Formats: sequence, structure tokens, C-alpha cells
Amino acid sequence: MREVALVGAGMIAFGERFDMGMKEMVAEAYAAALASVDKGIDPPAIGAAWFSQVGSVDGFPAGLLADACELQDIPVTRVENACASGNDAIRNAAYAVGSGLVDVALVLGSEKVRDTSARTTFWEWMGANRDMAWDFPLGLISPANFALHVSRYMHEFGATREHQAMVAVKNHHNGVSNPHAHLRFEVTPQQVLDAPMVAEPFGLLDCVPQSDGAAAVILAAKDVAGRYTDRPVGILGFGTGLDRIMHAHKTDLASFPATRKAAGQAFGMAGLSPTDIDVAEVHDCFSGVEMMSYEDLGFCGRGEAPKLLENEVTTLGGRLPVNPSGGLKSKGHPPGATGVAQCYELFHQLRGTAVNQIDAPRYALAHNVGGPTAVSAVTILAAPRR
Amino acid sequence: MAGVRLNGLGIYLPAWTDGRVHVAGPDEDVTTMAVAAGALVLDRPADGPGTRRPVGIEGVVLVVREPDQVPANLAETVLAGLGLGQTLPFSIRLGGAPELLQAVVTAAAGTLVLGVDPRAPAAAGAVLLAGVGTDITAIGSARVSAPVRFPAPGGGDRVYQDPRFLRDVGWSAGLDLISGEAEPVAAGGPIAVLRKLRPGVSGVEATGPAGAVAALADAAERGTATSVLGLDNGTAYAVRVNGTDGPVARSARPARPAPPSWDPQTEADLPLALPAYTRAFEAKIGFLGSEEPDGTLRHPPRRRVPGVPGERPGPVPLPRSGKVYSHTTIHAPVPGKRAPYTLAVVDLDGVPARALAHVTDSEPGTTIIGDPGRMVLRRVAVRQGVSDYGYAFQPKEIR
Repeated sequence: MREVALVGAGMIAFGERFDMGMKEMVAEAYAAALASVDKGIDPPAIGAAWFSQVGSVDGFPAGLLADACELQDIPVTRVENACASGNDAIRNAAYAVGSGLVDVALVLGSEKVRDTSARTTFWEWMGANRDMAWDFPLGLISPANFALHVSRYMHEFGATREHQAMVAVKNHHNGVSNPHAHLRFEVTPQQVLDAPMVAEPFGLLDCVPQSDGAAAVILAAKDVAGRYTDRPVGILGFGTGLDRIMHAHKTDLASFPATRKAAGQAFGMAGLSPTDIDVAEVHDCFSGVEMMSYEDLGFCGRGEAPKLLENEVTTLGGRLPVNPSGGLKSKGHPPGATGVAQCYELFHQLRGTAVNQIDAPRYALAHNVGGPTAVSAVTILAAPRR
Repeated sequence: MAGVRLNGLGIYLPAWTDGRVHVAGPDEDVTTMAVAAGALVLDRPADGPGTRRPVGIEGVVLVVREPDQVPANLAETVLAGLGLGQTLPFSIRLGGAPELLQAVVTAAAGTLVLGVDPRAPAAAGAVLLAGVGTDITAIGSARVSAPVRFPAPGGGDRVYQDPRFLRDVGWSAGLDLISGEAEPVAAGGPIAVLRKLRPGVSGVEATGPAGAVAALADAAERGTATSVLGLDNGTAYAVRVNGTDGPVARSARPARPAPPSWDPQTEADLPLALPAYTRAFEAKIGFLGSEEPDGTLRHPPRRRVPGVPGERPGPVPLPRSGKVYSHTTIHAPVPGKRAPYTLAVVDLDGVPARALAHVTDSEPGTTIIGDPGRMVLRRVAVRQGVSDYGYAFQPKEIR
């Protein structure tokens, strides 16, 4: 398989974008990605496109992307893998480019959550994620879905709401400087603990906001990347992992096996280990999930994630900054766009142009986990070789 | 006169009161209360697996007072919830306490008679009959058309306000039936009034068919021959309980005050995929699981694993008790749900299987990992008007 690289990345500001429909968001993210290519790129160079979109607002997804971006002469595929759609779409595009069949590919992720009323999203999400006969009527909303895991994790390892609040505080702090972030305000640990409860142990400030947004990246084979940039970001490894879809069938709720599998595939392919990672964008859909994910990604041993937080290892100044962009918590979480936006951030981090720039990172990791906590996708990226 | 032999009596009371009498929980209805009462008498070890299909049950008779209390899927759900075959005769009789007493003394061997009062005072009763005998014998019946109590539009009962008429016509004929009896038990009439007319009579809380079963249970526990009078408007039926070897089982859960309102904050019409409901019915209501090749049990049951040779074992009845493995309490304003509500993943006792369920009969937010409890059949949701039943976790400890 030939080497694959990122040569461009663009995104729009995440938020409640009542001003933009799906087609507008898609077109703007695409334009931003094109404009980001150092030496420029002609759209006809794009050989195929993948559209990461979880909810098909405004109709036939692949057609909408092709139509809005004037990409009607190439294959376009919509990828849906719950909240892992973004990084999974990148994997699909990387297969095509790595195989030699496509030289340049577009991956665009977009989500329009706020065209429906804030209340109806509860049952919409459950209808898309739950067995209609068994689990759907129980009212296991998305936060509760993850809360069952974090609740068990806290019981087994003595982690507390204070620990997960550190994640929220850290990510809000990082998001303040990010012009694309949905929520740009600091929060204190006390504010996080005092916020109204949503699904125990998550309070309002432990949960992502409801966000619209779009992000896009352009992949190119290393062989041809020089036409577009002298500083391509290498895609070294990727993986997608799955777990049982019903909570009653999962073996161990204190971990996300899907993440372990995805990370195992990605690290194996990249020939790296977790200690090689210098910066990561980790799926903090709920604060406690980032905490648990440190272990599932191999950044620490079993039960040690709270210590990582207590020792500020994952803050901007720490040994392994996590979510320098503000993460999902502060940047926002339009599900289809999130994974792609993570790679947007890491593209900038690895080239030295990020807002909250880490000092000379060499390897970066993007991680999503989603659905009925049953799927995960991980991408490992490398800084341009000098 | 007619007489029957008893095989068991059971009284189920809900976990809630309104300060005066028991009230059904928000996830209870005629179906779930009938199953709760029936389970008490079907010789079921309280926490054991539902393995023993009750032997010798030949039919079920359910007595309720109002037709609007009968959901469309009641019969099949009660049969499946009690582990009885779907081909059993199942009849529904409309009536109050007298109707139930008459059903009992005319029941054939192997009949399970269920009486449910879903409205406050709420209760459910079950009587298992073993054929002709002298445990309960009929005294007589009386019927005068005097509809003193009738359903009010919008629910509840209204009572015709004429105390002397009520006393002289409404209940007198019934009291005449038991004029010679020592210390009778009455169900269905206001006990204070009845006592004035007939000193020595005692009453029960429930006033409908479940009340009749409660009265039978009280009489049976006395150990001496005791008459029981069922009243419903101008209808009366009296029996004598002469004694029984059959056990009297009562649900032992102490009740506590219900919250001021169980109504959800906002309405939601949840979609129902009826074919999916029908496919899941047997395993969902029978609380069945499937077995994996490595011995793990799964609930909900899973289909055949491709590539694994050999016959897939059939559905496995699961134990009805367990401990909380994880839980979360939802406070967000989910349309159609009254927040807060608690969901738990339960480790079932003695088997490698878990279940995901609502936590019921308890204050939301009081669940702790490790809490023991039982799985009970409750109404999980109403979807497009259809009652969707399933199992909920009832914690043993009341917090």
C-alpha cells in the first residue's frame, strides 16, 4: 500500500448555525479546505469523495455533497458510523488512495443538528441507535448511554465527578482561544460540579452542546503530494473497532472495547506505541469519556486515568496535551464533522500553525467513540519529514 | 350449594400510597398487577428462575370493574408473564367484588381467578382453584338495580348522594345474606356504614374484585369458618370460607407516599414498530435469554452465531433476581418521561447474564451499585396507544 498524506484542511465555526443550511456548511468547509492547500489545488484533481454525515438532513447525502461542491463527476459515498463517522471516512478514503486507485481524495464531515427543536433530538437519537422492541422505549438518551459506562468506571477505580470536571475545565480553557469553537468561555471546577444534572454522573457542563458544523480534509498519495505542499502530514495508521450494541450484552462497562480495538489496529499499522504520541484529540462527548479513553488508548494503565488528570499530564503544558482545540466539549460536536475537525486541528499542530500550538509534535492521534458505545475510529498522523 | 377447594390465595399491593390508601405506580396497570398477583400463587420461588411451568392450570378468569381498564394486549401478556401457554382459555368478566366471588365458587379445577383494582384503593388478587370441595362454599346472591356508584366522566367513581337510600336499598339485600354469620368480612361497600347496619363486620381497603380476594384471604387466615360478602352497587354475593390448606401469599413490600404527580412534563407519541414488538414478545414478557457456546447467557436473546456448528440451544428462562451492575439517573426533560428516572444494568443472580431496565418502586437517584432486587413485569411505555410491557428492576431495599 502506498503512503497517504493530508495536504489540506478546512472547517467552519461550530455552533448553532441557524444562518447556514447543510448545503451552505458543506460548500464553505470544502472551500476552506481548498484554500488551505499551500500550492493550491484544482478541484478536477479530486478523484473521489467521502461524506461523513450521521443524520441525513435535506436529503440524499452523497448527492447533496456532489451538488453543493460541484463534484458531480466523481464517486461520492456517504459514510455513517455513528460518532466515529469522521475518522472512519478518512480510513475509507485512505484505503482508496493507498491502493493506488485514487491520487487525491476529499473527506468532508458535516452535521445539522439544530434544524430540529432541541427537545426532539432525544428520541431521534434513540430511534437511530436503539433496538425498537427492546431498548428504545426505555429512554436511554445519549448521555445516559455513556453514563452507564462512567458510573461503573467510577465505582471500580474510585474516579470522581471532580476528576471528570478537570476534563471539562481543561477543554473549555483550550476552546477560548479557538475561533472555530462553539463555546468559548472558561469554567471553574465548582461551576462544573454545580451545573444542573443531565444523566448522573454528567451535569450540564460535562456534556457537549448541540452543534452544527462542517470540516474537510484533502488526502493525497505521498507520491503526488509535492504538487500541493512541501509539508504534507502523513497518515501512518488508522483503525475502526466495534463492540456489542446492547449494554446488557457488553462484557465490561468500565472500558470501551471498540476504542481498544481501533487503537490496536492504528498503532499496529503505524508501527508506534501510545508513548510516541505527542498530542491527541480524544472524543470527550462527555467529560468522563475522555478520562476513560486515556486508558483505552493506552496512554496509561488500568485505573490510572484519574492520576493523569490530577497530575495535569493532558493540559496544554503537560507531557501529552489532549484536545488542544477545546475538544468536543468546547469546540462542539456535530457528529459527522467531529472526526474530520479533529484531523483539521492535528494537521495544524503537526505543521506548527495551530492556535494552541504544542511544541514540535511529531505524532498525533485522533479518536472517536460513538453510537450505543459500540464503534470507535482512530487515526494516527505524523509531522512532515524535514 | 356450590363449593370449591383452594390451591392458593395471593394479594398484591402496590408500593405507593396517597396518604390514605394504596395507589398503583406510574408503570402499573391491570395487566402488570394481574401478573404480580398471579405470580404470588403460582408456586414460584420468589427469586428463582421461571423454569417451572405451572402445572395443572386449565384457564384464567380475570375480573375487573370497568371495560376501559382492559388494554388490547392484556390476555397474551398476562399468560406470557405468568409462564402460561397462549392456548389457555382466558376470559375477562366485568364486575366488582360479587362477580369475583361468584367466579371463584363456580370455577373448574385448575382455574386461576384474578381480580384487579387499578384505581385507588389499588390492589390485585389471585385465587387458584383445585376443583370441587368445601374450602369455600356459596351462601347466596342478591341483585337489586341500584347503581349507587358509577364511573365518572374522566375517571374515578361518583356516588349517588342519598345516604338513607344507599343504606336501605344499596346494601341491605347483601347484608341480609349474612345476617346469621359471625364476624363476616365485606368488600365493596363503605365499611363505616356497613358496621352501623351490621355490627361485627370487618372490611378491606380495596373495593372491587381485588377487595373480594383480600376479604377471602383475611377470612382464610382466621382459621375458623368466616363468611365473606362482596358488594357492588345493588349486587351482592356471599360465600363462606371454611378453611384451606392452600397458602395465602401477600406481597410484603411496605408502601410509601407517592409523589404529587407522575405525569410526564411533556407529551410524546413514541413510534411503535408492531412487527418488532410481536417478534420480541415471547422473550421480552417471558424474560427469556439465549445461550452462547461459551455458556454466557444473553438477554435480550441473540440469534444463531454464524459459523458455529451444531444446534443452537432454545430460549433459556432467566432468574428474576439480581444486583445492580451500573446505573444512571436521567434528569433531562425527555418528552413523555417524568424526570428524574433511573436506568440500571442488572447482573442476574447465578447466571452470566445482564439486563437493562428501569428501576421501579423507588425514589429516582437512590440506586447504588450492588443493590439487590427483583425483576418485575411493568408497563415500560405507551407507544402509539399500545401498552409496551417489559421487566423493571425493583430494589429490595427501600430508600
